[in-house]
Amino acid sequence: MDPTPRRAPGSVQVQPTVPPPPPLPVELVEEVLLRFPPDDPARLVHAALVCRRWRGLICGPSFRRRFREFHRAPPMLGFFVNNHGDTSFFIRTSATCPRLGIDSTVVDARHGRVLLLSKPLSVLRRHPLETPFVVWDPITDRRRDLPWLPVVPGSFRPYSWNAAVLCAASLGGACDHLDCHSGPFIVVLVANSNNGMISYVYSSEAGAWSEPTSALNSYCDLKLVPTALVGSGCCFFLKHLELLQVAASQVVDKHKLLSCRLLGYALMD
Amino acid sequence: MEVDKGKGEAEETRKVAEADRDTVTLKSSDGKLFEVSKEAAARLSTVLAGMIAGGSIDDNGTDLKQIGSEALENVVDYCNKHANSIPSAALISSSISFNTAPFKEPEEWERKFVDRLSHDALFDLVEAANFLGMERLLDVTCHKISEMMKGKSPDQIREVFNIKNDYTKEELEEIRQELAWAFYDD
Repeated sequence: MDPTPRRAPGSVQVQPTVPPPPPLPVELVEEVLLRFPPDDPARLVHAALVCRRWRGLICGPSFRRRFREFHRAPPMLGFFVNNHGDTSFFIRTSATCPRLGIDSTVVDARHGRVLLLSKPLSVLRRHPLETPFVVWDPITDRRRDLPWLPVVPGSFRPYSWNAAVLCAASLGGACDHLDCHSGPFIVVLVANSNNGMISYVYSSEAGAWSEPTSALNSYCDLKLVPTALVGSGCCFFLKHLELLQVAASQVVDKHKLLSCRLLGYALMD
Repeated sequence: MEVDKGKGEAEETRKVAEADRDTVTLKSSDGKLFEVSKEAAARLSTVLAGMIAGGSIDDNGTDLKQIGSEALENVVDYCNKHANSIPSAALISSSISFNTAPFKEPEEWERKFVDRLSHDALFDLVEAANFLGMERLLDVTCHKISEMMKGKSPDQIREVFNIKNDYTKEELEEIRQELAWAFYDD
């Protein structure tokens, strides 16, 4: 639509030389920006470059939450592919999604964060857990290198393991995950070893791994595939139940959740 | 349905006004009167619904001092068209299902409705919809404006919306470099 100059008060005839229209009030600009399609994030970047006020709106503390609330289901902009333990890569499913380059193996991704090994599995000559994890925010490109696990080097070589990255409020079920990507997070590591199931939890707020907790009576062979957040529990898939590789919602319906209290979260069995 | 009544006719309206009449009369900032179905007004506008429920509707014409006659005419026109052409399922724009996007793309008639508006009329209608708490009309008009920005560079958006660039050239360049992915197709 061609912009037509807004009429000056009292004028009858509209001429091209009449002063241009006053800008839309800022609260209505926000309403317009909220209705941008969520699968085209570049449009919000273009809008942020219009003027400082618009950038302030888009980058402000409430806009992201309102945008997510408005569109409810977040769009899929792309996905990570694990290449048999080699360097993972990112496939964009939206033309305007950023191209993400990674140089390692992705272990998990959730709530705007990606959990990586600091080196790809294929080049590791050691046990994977003898290399630190990295938590990466792909949108801001911020990386946090996690400290080494609190184990004696060389002494912790579990048969199988898996790890998940979660918003810190996830396990209590207290977060709607609309605007938590820059907040505190935890990394839950589960491993099975000679001593049974062991878990460590890293807290970004503490900046440290917890002491290990263990479930001595449990023995589960863990599959290194993405974990599922179900209700307030984080579910890890097990090797001997192939069915567990299908959608988590189906799994929850068909299998009881075995809650390993000692581990502090649920394991599927 | 919208009627631009003269004063005599407005007086007539007042005489026949009863609590159970099925229309409400709205008065624009420039004093023009419009009649709209009470049911449609209450369903489409949270503000009018509140006024109807609270008994603060004036049978002589409820003053809407923030809304000009052209915008109010479009509001009433929208209410009437909405009542005539929308099956009830389409009215559920605020779905409570968590995974269902509450925003519903404008229907064909809604697109046509906003496409015929001038730039000024569209902006005025957005303001009116916002003032009256008309969520669906706000959706449709804001969607139209967002479509007007589609594929436009920041320079072009500024031109359409009459916005002054208050960035320095260096700042713009810095942001462009930082977020280069968003400008691949420039």
